[in-house]
Amino acid sequence: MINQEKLVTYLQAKQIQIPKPSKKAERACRERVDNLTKPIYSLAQLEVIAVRLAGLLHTPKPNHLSMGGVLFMGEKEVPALATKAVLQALQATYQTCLITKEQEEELSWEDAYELGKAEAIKAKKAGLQIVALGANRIDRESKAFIVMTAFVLELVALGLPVVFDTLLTGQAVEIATRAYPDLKAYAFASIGETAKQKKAQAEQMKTLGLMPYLFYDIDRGQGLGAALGLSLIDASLHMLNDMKTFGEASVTVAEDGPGNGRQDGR
Amino acid sequence: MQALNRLCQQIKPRDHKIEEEIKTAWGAEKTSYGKLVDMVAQYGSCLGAVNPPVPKPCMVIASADHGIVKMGVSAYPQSTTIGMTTNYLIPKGAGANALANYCGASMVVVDMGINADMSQVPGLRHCKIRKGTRNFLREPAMTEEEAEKAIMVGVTIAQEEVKKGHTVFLVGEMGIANTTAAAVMTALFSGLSAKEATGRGSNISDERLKVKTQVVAQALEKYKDIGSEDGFHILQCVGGYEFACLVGVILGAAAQGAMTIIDGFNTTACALVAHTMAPACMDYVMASHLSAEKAHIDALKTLGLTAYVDLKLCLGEASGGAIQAGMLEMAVRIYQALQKKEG
Repeated sequence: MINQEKLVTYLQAKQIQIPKPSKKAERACRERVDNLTKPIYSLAQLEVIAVRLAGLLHTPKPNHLSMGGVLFMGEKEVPALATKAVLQALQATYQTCLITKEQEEELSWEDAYELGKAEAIKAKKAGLQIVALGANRIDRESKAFIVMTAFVLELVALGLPVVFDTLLTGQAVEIATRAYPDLKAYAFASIGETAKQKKAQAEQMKTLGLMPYLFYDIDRGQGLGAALGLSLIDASLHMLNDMKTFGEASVTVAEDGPGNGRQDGR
Repeated sequence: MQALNRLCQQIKPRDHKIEEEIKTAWGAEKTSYGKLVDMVAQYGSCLGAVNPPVPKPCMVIASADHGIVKMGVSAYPQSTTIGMTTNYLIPKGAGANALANYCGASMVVVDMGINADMSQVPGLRHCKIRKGTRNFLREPAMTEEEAEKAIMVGVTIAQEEVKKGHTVFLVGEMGIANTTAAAVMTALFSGLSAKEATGRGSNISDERLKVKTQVVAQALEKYKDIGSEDGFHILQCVGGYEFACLVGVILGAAAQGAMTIIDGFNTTACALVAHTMAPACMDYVMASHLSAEKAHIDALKTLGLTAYVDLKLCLGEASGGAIQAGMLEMAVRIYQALQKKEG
């Protein structure tokens, strides 16, 4: 059985460097977003997503990102057809890591960590810029959970943001964040949990300073919710790249409210 | 009203047999897919297809001006309606354009009542009823004939676009001061007070919100005798030409077996009108997001709908509808992948 506190301490001992987001890129992105042809802040969380990505990718106007889903499977392989269908529609890649019960018994904590790290390096080498994290039959108390948590930590250390979905994948993010609070900047939520998990998810979201956006009562894991979350990332990037400013489109700026003054007709 | 009444009678409930077949076809693990199952089932049953195609969405943006703008209820001048409508078609740099690109929707942009000559704007459908509605604090926003004519424009658009193969409509609107109209409409339908119904629209200041709330309160007093079941007259007295057009799109789409995904506060007010005119049309209406406009949740409740997406959006322009359209496409692709596996 994995002790949470011990896992946090173990991860902290790795002394991982989490790259800091660029505040300059965030500010430049926010200024542009505020001047796009819409009432200020009206695209709300799509704007927040875009500004966060600008900071993480160190560019005021990130464009199409190379996306991928990484699914950690315990016990046995699953086809994950739904997740694959969504990833395919997004032209995103699909990567899996299977940890059977037999393999788990042989793993030390260090082996588990290295396995997770290898998957993160694989994702980076594949050219991915953002990852949807999925899990199937991963026991929260198992070494497979260490693999997944190590993956999150090492992925972020390589500068890649991660979209998670369920309480379980959220717990991997949460543990990694407790070890390295700066990791929070790289985590993106996606779906709301079902009624039975709602309260627990609300607490998790509060801890991470995030909110879920999609409410379809999906109770499937396998990264399906995270893959749908990648679609929202895509929507946000369309907002950032396809919209024009008031000046570019020759539209009159706000005369009242918070838009007045902030929207400067650029 | 004869043509409109005939159209409303043509709207039949969607095929619930097909709906149940689709739900069963998701397989033994269908509950784990949650509302994705219901979304595909609704979509397929609207089309009458157990194996519905990936949605082919058409985003209809209707633009018009409102006489109530003179009361100082918006953060933007009336000329913004002109600028934004032009933006949809020439720079193509609005939220509607970006999110139409996201979900692969084609766009129809229609002038239903802009207070300007828009004849030079290429690609704009010119269906102007009047250069803006009347100030509804003084007199009804539209005449009955104008309201009916505007609805029929929407019906025609839906008919034409269904013929082109579109299976889902995303309805959006543009019209400075139109959230004031929507607030009065929603309050009349849902029994809300002016304070409960009035939100910040284009993100107005506290002072302007006070003015807007007073305007809504005066309108509710003036039109208090219109029953909540009389959507047509609510629309006629306090609505807009663009709203009427979108009511027509909802009704026209339903009559053709196509679905409409509504957007936020304003288009939900349109759905409230359509619902009273032809209750069966709601079989063909899907909600999308929960607008940050405070009375939207009440409007959805009145229709018996729940939102699927919450991004705190408050733009209109079919932005929330486009997100839901993207998710519906994913749901259909998942369904198709599962059917292929079963096959």
